Amino acid sequence: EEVTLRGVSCFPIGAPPGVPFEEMVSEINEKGKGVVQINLLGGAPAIGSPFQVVERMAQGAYDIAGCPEAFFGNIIPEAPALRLQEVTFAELRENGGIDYFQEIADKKNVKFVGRHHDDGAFNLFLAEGKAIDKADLTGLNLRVSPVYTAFFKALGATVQRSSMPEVYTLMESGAVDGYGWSVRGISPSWIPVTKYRVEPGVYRASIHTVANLNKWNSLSDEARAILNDVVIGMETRMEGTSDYAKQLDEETFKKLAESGIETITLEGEEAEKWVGMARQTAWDEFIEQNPETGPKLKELFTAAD
Amino acid sequence: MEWYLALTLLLGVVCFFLFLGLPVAFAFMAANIFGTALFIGGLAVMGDWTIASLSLQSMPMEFHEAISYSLATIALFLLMGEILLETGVAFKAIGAIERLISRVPGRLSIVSIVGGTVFSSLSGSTVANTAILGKVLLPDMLRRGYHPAIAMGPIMAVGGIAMLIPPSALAVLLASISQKSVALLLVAGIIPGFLMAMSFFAYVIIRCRLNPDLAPPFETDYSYLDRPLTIAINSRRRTLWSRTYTGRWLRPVNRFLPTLLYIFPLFSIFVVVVGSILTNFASPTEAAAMGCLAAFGACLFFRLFKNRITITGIEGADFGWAEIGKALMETAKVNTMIIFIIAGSLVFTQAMAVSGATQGLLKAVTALDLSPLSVVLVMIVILLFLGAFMDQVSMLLLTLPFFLLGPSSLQAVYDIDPIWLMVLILITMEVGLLTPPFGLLLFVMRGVAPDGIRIGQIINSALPFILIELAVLGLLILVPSVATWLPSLVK
Amino acid sequence: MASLIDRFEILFEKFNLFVAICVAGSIGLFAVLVPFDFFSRKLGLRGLEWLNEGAEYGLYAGVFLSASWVLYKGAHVRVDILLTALPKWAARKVERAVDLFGALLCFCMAYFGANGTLSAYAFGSLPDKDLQVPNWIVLAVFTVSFVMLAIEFLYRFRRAGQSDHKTTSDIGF
Ligand code: NA
Ligand code: NA
Repeated sequence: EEVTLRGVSCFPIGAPPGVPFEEMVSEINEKGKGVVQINLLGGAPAIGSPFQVVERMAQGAYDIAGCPEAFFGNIIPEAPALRLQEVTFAELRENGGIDYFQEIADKKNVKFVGRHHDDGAFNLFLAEGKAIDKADLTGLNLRVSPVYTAFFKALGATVQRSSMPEVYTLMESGAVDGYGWSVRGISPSWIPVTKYRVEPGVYRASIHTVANLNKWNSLSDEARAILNDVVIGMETRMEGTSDYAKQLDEETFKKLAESGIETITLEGEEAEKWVGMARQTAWDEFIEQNPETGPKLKELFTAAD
Repeated sequence: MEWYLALTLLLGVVCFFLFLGLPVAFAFMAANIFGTALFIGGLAVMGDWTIASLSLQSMPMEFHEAISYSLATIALFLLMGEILLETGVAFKAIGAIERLISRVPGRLSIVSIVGGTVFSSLSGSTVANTAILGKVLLPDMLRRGYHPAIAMGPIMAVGGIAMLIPPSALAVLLASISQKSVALLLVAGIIPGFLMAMSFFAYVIIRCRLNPDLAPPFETDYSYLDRPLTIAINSRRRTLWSRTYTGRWLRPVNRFLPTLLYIFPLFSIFVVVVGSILTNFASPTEAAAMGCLAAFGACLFFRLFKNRITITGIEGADFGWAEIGKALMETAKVNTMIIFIIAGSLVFTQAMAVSGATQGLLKAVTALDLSPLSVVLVMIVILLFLGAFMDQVSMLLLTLPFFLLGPSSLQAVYDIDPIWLMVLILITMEVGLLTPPFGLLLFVMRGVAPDGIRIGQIINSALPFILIELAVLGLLILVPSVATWLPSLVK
Repeated sequence: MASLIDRFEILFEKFNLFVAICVAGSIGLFAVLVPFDFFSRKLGLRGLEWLNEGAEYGLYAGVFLSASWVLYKGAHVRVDILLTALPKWAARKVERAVDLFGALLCFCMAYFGANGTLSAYAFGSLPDKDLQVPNWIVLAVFTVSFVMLAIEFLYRFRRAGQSDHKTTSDIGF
């Protein structure tokens, strides 16, 4: 008989980063008629703090959720691997990377279904008069989130932690000279206080579908197949190397340029230093926080050195 | 559940406990439990107790997430005023202003307006402002036969200016919760604040000229003007150096020296704080913290004149660590009171949103097809009504989700200038400080006024000033540039 | 029994005062650290990178733990229209009922807090911050502060029943 899952999103319903999940739910409800349906109950913060959505789901309040890994790093400390990945998700499913991650998530009663959306790489955005031409951030005071704190510090920046709603105020008052954000996820309200975007981008801003493990295991094979089919279908389409993702990036770059944000592209050695430092600082921190699982995850999630 | 039922239920719970006398923060918390179980936890829709109980269990974490760094500015702005108050420097400054003003009708009322305005620019707290003027000037005024109406009214009215002229704890709260520019709002309050002070000034002069009995003129003792001026530098109770002046400039020097010594260092604090925000040199939090240090530094400077440097007619400040400790304790108390309400009401805001009450009400208002100006008027009328019964922080937090917060708020939908709207909201809240039955400054006045003054007299004395504030509000509605001109220079 | 409750009351208020002094001290410290951080940044030094997150934790813990001291001082703002309009004996009844309800409310909040603490401990959940204080500690602070508030409401209830009771309030901002 038909099973109905209780679904929630880590974003407000209708807000841009949550839309892919909502579309995915419609697709599942279309293909899953008579087998599996998702009743989308709502999104954070209306249903509570986004940081607690996955925790509550694991405890049985909901069955399936769409959230970026930052919102479940609180219960699965290995979650940042999902944004540091350098090989495609298809390869991760081949080489056992996802299986190993699932082994870890099992302990928290979480099923990793797939990465259904990707908001592009993280860029550094800078204020007027704060342009850089080298992989050197000395003298800049940057707003950070834990994603890139270590990276910016390693390049000499002073950093200031703030929540997302404070970014505008900090930039506007000149308290910070810049901030990091995913290229496709930047808030339109920040555009007037932003002048430069620094290429190359680093890491990935991805949004994942996760489920309550007990509930997942209780589903019929047919239901699981439908869910896997849709989620992994989106995962493949959104691969950073795919034509679709590249086209999305092009559109975003164009839009940013039209609103007056200039692109600074680091080249050659400087670009190498930029990307290399991003990679090294993040994985060092990751292994420090996950000494047991970290090294193996790094091996599986990055191309061999 | 229909949106208006949800709205009535949530607001009903808050108001029920509020009027029973439960402290505001706890009235919000009672509503949080209902709201979280019914709406966030979905009990009203799904009737499933698992989600509801897990939602209640995760509610406490929301309180932690509600407290953001920008709220720390409030404590700093409160501390600035408390330091000047507890060290006695504020009293000395008012004394200096008193010497400066002579031969005007209602002289002491004018002193309270000028002194209150000066102190407004040094304190983020309306209550500190009213309390200090009430303590210093009111007994003197009543003893000299001032009518209570002209004695208490200006003191209370000028207290409210503290929330318009920066530093202002409430302006920081308003802008940071609605995710608008704190700096621009602080700057926008300056002109309306001084305009308000000037209107009070004019009113007192006209009223006292028409009816001199309200403020009987009295002979001030001007003998100090002819006292020889001695300056001495001392160390360990021995005079190292001293000079006495009796020349022809003695009178003006005796009159203006206290002002030079007290007012200018204090005014420079205002310039530093507001200037560093204006020029984007520092964030409001940083400016506020530097303001605290500057206030402390100024107090230390005034302490020099207690023993180290003695000047005839200048008392100097006399304080120790105990007074600084008291200033910190007062700050902690008021800060906890404010932020406790904020933490409690943010979950409430979420419950309102998820229950559909916020959207429903906004849709209903939008469906009325009003012009943006009428929408602004509707907002002001609602705030004036709430202000009669509620404290400023609660009324802000109750209405912000509808008025200012997010892309579907009235401000966004009708494309109203947010800075202008926030200044209007601040003035409306200022009116609320004086309107019975719940007017915070009325209570403060009742606390500091001598026995025998009835609450009815206090309310009557506030009435003309409420009308003046409404007139200024009207002017700002008609001429928005009064509020938006200065911020536009900063942009 | 009565003397035991009295002795505990004295001890409890002393503890509240101690907490308040710590909170006041932390505000003073903050007023010094912010300019220090600011100027060291302007001089091109690192500054205090933990200050923002540290202040958030400090503000949270300070506000919640000193809330019962503020309640003791009668400084939580409240609307007393009804209480002043009612005859004295009725006002006292309402006041006591409200205090009792306040205690109940705070016990409920403490109960949710305790549940949350246990679950956060079991999951080992951490915040998405650079300064990672485990969530269970944050929630334990919440729980403790509401237990303290519930105790203070019960004492208010007791004091309001005593014959020489006078309501005090000390509010404002
Ligand atoms: Na002020
Ligand atoms: Na009022």
